[in-house]
Amino acid sequence: MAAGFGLPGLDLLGQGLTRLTSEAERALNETTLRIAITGLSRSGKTVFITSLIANLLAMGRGRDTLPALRRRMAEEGRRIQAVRLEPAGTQALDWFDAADKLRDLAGATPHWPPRTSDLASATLTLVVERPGEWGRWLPARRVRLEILDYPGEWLLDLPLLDQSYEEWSAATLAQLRQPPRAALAGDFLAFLAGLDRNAPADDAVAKRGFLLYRDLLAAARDRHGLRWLQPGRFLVPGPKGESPMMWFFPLAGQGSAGAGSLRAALAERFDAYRDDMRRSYFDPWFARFDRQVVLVDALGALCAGEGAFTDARQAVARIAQAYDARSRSRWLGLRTLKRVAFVATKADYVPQAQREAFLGLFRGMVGLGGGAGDPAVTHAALAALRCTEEGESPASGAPVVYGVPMGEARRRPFRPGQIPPQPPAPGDAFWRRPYFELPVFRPPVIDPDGREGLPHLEMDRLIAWLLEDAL
Amino acid sequence: MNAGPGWDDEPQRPVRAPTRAPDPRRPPGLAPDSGLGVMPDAMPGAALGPGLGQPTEGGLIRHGEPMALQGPDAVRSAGWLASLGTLGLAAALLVLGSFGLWLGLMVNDLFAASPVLGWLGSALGLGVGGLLAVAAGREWRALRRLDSLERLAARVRETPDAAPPPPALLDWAEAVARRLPEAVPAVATLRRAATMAEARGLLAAGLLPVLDARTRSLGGQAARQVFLATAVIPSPVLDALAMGWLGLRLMRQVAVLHGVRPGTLVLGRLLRRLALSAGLAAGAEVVTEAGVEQLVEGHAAKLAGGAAGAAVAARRMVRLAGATALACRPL
Repeated sequence: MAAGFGLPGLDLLGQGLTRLTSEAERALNETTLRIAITGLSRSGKTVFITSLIANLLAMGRGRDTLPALRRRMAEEGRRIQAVRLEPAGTQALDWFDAADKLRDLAGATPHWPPRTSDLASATLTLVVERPGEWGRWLPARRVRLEILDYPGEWLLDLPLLDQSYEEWSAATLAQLRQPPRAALAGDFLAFLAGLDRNAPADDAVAKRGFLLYRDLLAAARDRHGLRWLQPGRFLVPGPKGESPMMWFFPLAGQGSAGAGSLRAALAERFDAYRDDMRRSYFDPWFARFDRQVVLVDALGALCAGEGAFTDARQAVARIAQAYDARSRSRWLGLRTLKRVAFVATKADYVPQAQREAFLGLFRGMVGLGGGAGDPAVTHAALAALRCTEEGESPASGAPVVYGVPMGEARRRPFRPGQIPPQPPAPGDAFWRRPYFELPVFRPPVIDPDGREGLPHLEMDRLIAWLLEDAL
Repeated sequence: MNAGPGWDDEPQRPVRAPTRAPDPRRPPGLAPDSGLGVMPDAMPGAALGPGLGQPTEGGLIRHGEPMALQGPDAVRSAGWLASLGTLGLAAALLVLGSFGLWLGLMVNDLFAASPVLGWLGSALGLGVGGLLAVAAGREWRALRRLDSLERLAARVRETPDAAPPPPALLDWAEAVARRLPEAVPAVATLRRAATMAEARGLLAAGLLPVLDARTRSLGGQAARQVFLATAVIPSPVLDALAMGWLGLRLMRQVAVLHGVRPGTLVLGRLLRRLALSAGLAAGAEVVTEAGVEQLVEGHAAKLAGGAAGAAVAARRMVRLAGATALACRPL
């Protein structure tokens, strides 16, 4: 509430004091954490963020939705007094509407949130009681959590920032000649084979190559469950739509391209695309994170076969490196990223008895990390929204999970099959299993108002670990 | 607080897979549940890979509800103020008891002197007792009003953004509008709010600014009086007394504006809330601002003499009005 004495001089003094005290109060009592919820497409980023927001808000309203976080704070005599979702204010990004997502999940015909097509953000404020006898005489602390949602496909453009067109083309073409991409790349590679290396620039040819390459990426995603698909905006163009800047494709060639040649034109477009991604998305929104959560659909990749598994593994490693490189403070270049969590989602598809093996497999998949000077690393297998129940197979009594597939009303048993505790070696007999697409289970019955938060698996332990040093 | 999981059906620890004797009817070499056309649930075996079985009994998946967390321990926050409260109660009982005994003795003496005087004395005693009862009743009603405001604040805190606003919130807003005619349009709009988020927004955009304006006006009025008093009164003790009296009067005015009956005990509770509730934004602001103002006051005094101190003292009245207003609101 602004001061007002009715006397101009005093009003001026009052306003100055208000500004000064407000800044001092913020410096003393407020901490802001930028949390990067990263992951490849369909790894569950949107549901993870919705669950994080819904469960923290419910916790602020007095529901024990995140017991591990509550216990961790109680050990140090702290408590979350309230949780607020900050108003959108004047932010340029879309507003991440968690209530809307919750209605999608809880409606009469529940459905999973549609594919994310643009950046959206939300900020939560946690009001945290200070510990100790003197704590209650001091003002409560406010911890602001800034969370960003974006199309997972775009994340794959992050490593592009450090590559030239020549390097990217060479790496991409090498991949296209390996299975399982080779089976899909026939048309595109045939098109390349028919091109002269020093062909003159021509928009019709460039666009034809772009369309062939884009269709190849879409087929790799949809038919083989592959995730390492660059450039990401070819698959999800975002609000700017498709533009001539995107009419490029990988084309082999060494040394500088001749002026006016097709390769030079493609390289120019590659540079323009990369700069646009940097300027529009990465520099303003994808830098200086304090915490990172890397979500991976490890079970989906395991069921999709060796190619998809290796692909996801490579994508996760490259993305984690790219984030770490960009998480530096503005002035001194110090590392801001303190904690990184690698998270295998859809743990509710795995019976409890197999979850330990699943976590071991996931650890082996993404590596251990955590060298000297690196951020602290943890691995977790969780479900941001638990849509199955534990049970036994009606026939054999083997552990299974029960879920209701989308579009159905009765539950079915699901078994993820054998889950090796370590990633099988290349060429192992395990990989001879046929491609299996995980069923999509219907969300459980939940309160559309989010009064009780969202039922989850292990989400509380992860949040407790991520925030324990900041709360 | 419970130490178990928040969701009452969440598994606590890994469940060992049940072991079963092999089925003698199963053909040899066939993995259990292999699903090669012979299993009732038609699932492929674990060795062969994942599989989805046939529909079984049981409808949609429903999980339990998370447990409710208890608020902060009420006893812990009482502290020495609770001891002071007990001391005050004891003092009040002593005074009232002594007065009652004295009155009884006096009436007895009066009856001994003359029945007329005795009856007059009894009437006087009954009058005084009645007035005390009325005062106690008013205090009790004021405390109940503050209690219901606190219950409403808890309901508002527990209501999710997407749920309808609690009817008691609209009742509170209407009670405010009855005392503040300029708030009537804002309350009429608030009545049409479908969700708590909408109600919160409409309160922030409509009713609260009206209340804020009136609170600022009351605070400004008290600030001017304090400014003059602090500048004119030479004694620091008298300064403090004037500030205390004006501050209490301001708190009463703001409480009335928000529909809180300003009894003595209610003022005491409000003061205690202001002092103890470090969680309130106002409480946080008071603590920090006080520190900064002390710094500013020290430097400004070198330039502007006593006027700077008076200005800071006056500003505290405005802040007190704001803090009291926050303590009297359900959100």
